[in-house]
Amino acid sequence: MAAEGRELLAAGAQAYGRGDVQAARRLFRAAARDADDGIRISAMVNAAGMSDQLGEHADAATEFRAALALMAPDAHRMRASALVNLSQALQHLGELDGAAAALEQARACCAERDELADVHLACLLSLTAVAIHRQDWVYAIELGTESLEVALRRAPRLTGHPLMNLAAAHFETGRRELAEDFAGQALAAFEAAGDANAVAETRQNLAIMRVRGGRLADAEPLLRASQEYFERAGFGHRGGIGRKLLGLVAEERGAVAEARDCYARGLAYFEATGAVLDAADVRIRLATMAFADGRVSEGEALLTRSFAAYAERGLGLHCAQIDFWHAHLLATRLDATGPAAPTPRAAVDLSVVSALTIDAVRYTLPNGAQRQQWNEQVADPALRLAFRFAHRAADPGLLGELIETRCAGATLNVDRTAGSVPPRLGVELPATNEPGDEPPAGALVLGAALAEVAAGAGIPVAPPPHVALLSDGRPALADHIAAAERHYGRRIREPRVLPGIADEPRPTLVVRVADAGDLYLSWRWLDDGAPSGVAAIAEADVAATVRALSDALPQPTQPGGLERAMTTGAFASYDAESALAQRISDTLLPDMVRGQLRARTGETRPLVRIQPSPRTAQIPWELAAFGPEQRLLDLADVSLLPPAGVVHSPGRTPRRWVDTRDLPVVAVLDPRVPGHRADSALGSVLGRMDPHAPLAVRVADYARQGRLRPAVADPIAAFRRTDLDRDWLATTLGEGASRLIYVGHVTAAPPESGQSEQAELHLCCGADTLGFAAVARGHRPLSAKDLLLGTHTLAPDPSDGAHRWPMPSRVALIACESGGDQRFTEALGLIAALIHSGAELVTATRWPLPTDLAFHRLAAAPPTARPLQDAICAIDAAHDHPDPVTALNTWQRHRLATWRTTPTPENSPLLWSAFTTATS
Amino acid sequence: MSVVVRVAADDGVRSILPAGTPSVLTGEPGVDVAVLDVLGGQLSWSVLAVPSLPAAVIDDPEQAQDWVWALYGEPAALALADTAAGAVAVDAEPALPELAARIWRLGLAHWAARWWPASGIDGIATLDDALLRADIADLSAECELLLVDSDVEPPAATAPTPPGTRDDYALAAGGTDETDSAGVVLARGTGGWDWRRCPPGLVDASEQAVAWTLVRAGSATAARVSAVAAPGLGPAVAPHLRPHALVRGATGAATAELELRGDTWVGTVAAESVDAVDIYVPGVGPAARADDASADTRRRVREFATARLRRAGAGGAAGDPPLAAETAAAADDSDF
Repeated sequence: MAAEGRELLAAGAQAYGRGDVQAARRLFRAAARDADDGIRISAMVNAAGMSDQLGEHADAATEFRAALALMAPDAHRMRASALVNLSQALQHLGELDGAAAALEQARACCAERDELADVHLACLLSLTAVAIHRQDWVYAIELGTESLEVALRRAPRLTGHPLMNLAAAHFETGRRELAEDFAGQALAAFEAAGDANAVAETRQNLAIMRVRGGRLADAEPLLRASQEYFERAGFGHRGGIGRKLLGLVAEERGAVAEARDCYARGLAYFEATGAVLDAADVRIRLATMAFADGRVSEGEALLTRSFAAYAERGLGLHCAQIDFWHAHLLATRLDATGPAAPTPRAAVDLSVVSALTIDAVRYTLPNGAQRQQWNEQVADPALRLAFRFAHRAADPGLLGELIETRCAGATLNVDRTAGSVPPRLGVELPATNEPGDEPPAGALVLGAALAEVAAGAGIPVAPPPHVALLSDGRPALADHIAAAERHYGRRIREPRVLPGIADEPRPTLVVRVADAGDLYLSWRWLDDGAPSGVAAIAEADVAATVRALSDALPQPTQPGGLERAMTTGAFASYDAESALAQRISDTLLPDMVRGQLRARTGETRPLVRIQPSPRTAQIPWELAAFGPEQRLLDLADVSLLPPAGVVHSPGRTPRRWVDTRDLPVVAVLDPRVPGHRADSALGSVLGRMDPHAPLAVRVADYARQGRLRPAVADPIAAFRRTDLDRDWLATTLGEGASRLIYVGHVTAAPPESGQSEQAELHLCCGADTLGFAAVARGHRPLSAKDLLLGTHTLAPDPSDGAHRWPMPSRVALIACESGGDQRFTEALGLIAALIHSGAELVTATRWPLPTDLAFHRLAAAPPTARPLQDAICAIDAAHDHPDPVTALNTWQRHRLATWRTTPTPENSPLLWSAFTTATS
Repeated sequence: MSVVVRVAADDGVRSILPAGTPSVLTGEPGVDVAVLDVLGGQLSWSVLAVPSLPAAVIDDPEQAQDWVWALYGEPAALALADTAAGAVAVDAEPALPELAARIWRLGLAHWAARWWPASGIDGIATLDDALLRADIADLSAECELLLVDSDVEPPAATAPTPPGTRDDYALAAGGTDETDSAGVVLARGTGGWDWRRCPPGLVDASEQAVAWTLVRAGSATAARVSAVAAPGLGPAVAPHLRPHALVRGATGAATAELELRGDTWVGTVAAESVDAVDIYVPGVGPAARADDASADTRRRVREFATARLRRAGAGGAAGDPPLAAETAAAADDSDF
């Protein structure tokens, strides 16, 4: 029997060698029926492979599964290979879940078995293809990194494939420069390997990246070179892609007829090769051209056909992107018709539903930088359109819900591109093919290092919860969210609903601001004592006002940037400051809001709680001038409203002032930063402390009462200490505190990086402390990321940030731009970290603070003036007050009165209006 | 203690070598070695092994006779005069111990002018130049017996003003903009530098002074190098004194001139990887790379300087009074 089985197997192999696949399958099947186990399983696997080649994928899958069921547990190679083959059959059948599951089994089988590196690599490349197909970019990057590592170690000639996968995944998450970088390395690797097919594919991929980056002219030579190869070699699918892209290039040049011809030829290629999704994509192009010619119903029919093709395959995000595009085309037509044309309800809903879905993708991205890119390049155009349609349709309810949704938390969104980029139709990168067998060597150490770093984890963000509307507590955009989840088959919100805002004892106005090209602002009185409303403010006006403000602010890192702000900028004279304040008011506060505030002020001043957008994060709202002698501060108290997502973050335990007010005051006063002399950039901010100085006197009082930590006998010993590091802070906060006051330095990554969690406090920590921030000059700063994540991933026995540094009820961060997180897409900076860790109230700064020395030296303030120290005393006193927000606003009103009568540099709001207080 | 008095057969150069003491005959002296030109020869000591007898290399025994007797005593002086080619071990004991102590301090002062490891990072105060010159002048006058006349500087007519208490502090409660944000950081590192390769007063002497990040941006990789400037360095540095950075990586080495930005020297060097970063001023010091032992020597020199300053602040040790420059540096509280 055994001998007969072996003969059948050999005969099957011979038949296959002749090209007679049918006969080979028959022989293999016979061997599988009759032979002993060892041969039988081989025969079954071979028969399955024949079925797959014959296009009978369902049979192939069944046969592979049967063979797998019989394999011995230790037949690792055979099992892994069969699983990879099974996954291919399942991919052909469109069973992506099954294919991925088979590949995961194969991956587990290969892990740690170096001798299976070839199968491992094939498996990883297939898995990456599936992940890319599903737009699971995070996983694609992880797999790409792993496969690059395997390829470099065991099959250096194949490194081009993982490199190209990494390029694709990074590209899709908006890291375009990095993507071109990887693609360039992939091209070099394929060229070195002499793999002509892969070279052509990579050229085409690079061309796609350039097309999507708007660099069509740069793409054309790559396209023509690769197209020539594909058409000559008869690669229909790639040929179709090339034709489509050449169509785009032609369209860009205005050659409409040529473009239509290219699309038609591309479509023909795709239909011939059964590339359903690519055909759908070309139909979207043709639809776009139809819309442009006014053939709207023809265009819509094409879009519907495309939608169906994606929907059938469960590709919800693609469907959302089609809907967004549809809405965009409608908007273009409406704009052409004129502003008076009514906005169809269906178009509004289409834009909102698709934008919510596209926006939700970023919660699946691993770090802030990638989410930032996704926002900027993918989600923002969609959201901007939704806001525009809601505004255009004169639907204040919907607009308000959009604003509240956008303000909810880590869901905050930024709009730095500020409308400069028109929406573009997506061009997809085709999945990379499996590698051929014979590419030559060419190791790329750089590729691996780069891949590892780029995959490096940032802070994971939970999917956004629903947010309760201020008006009636029902979840915002509930119908749209439900429609989106139904329509696209994707979860875009977690079931939790963030509660609204608790009522206040006095009239309270909640103002929320959202960036979406134009600026959208909603307001509501919690007592409904005056009508609520929404307003849209033109992008150009906002930009001009924000620029006027930022020109007036200190830029200590630029030469002369501090001196300019103190001596010649808008904050250097009363008239200029007052004009700026008037402009802030005129641009950013709707007439109705100003009128309501005038009407509702009186013996009890109303409270205004503002949640600014990233673009308006530095606006000193309290200075806003309603007339020559009237500021917002004269009428109301102002505080900062943190994102609801932070206030209601899971696991947050707020420490209530009433319960903790008698606990010690933790004072980190001008700590010595290791490696930085007193007169250096990270040196002393208070100078040598005089025991009779007001702050020293306050500190002496606390020390006498036994409330001060560190406990010192001599108040001077509380300043410039060298022992206040993160461990001391952890221990001291852990022992219980009512307040934390920090006077020192904060540095942060620039807002456009998206890495708000890199905001850093400079304590006395040396280089050997554990933390996420990089060490410089023997000193490791304490970052917001440390405060959020604690020692997760750093220590064998980690503790989370809120546990390690339990924040007291009230925290003051008197340092440069310590409140800078408001300027980020995701406000995960210091304010968020402190609130997350238990603080109820945080006072921070909106911009860099000049020290008293700067006032003396650069602004010729009298030697007796100590504006920074006075501000610290005022904030410290307010934080000890039962009602700190009122106390801080009262202090600012006093400073405003002095500024009006004595407009000298030391009285300028440049210092005292830098402070803002967030209350949870 | 016992010293070896040696007369070389070929060129007649004579030496007096206490065991373990570095002499100018044994190659480039390390950063811990004080070297002093004296009548008819050169003295050398490691400042880390104090107080001790110096090594002497003598090319003119007649001129050196008096101080050999004073520093090493009669047996050594006789051996030097009597010995033909060859070596002889004799017991050495200074005939004039006070002069021996002074000459050691003069050597220390000269050493400090070149090698004092001033560092803002490590908190080792700078020695004031003028005060150190005055120290050297005073000690030279006291050591006339050993010195060529022209090496004896007259004591300064008026004492230079010691550095006063300065109250400078930061101008903004913010930070340096060290985040050149563009690109992906692939790797980073910090380290010290070979003190022999830059003149004093340019670069902070700390082992943390040099930092680099390997950054990928725009399809190119580069090392951004920074070196903290020596404390008190003014903004005007002569162009020929600007430090350079040499970055060694897997694919070779490349250099860039650094520019002073605030209190940091910065520059960017094209590199694919970083194995080591050398900071140097062209034409200064040996081109050969420092060995591993040199970092340990630098550490010991820092400990020595820190101990000297601590003792100077406490009034100095008996028999080893601090230099005036050390006393002033110990009292300097401009960094508070």
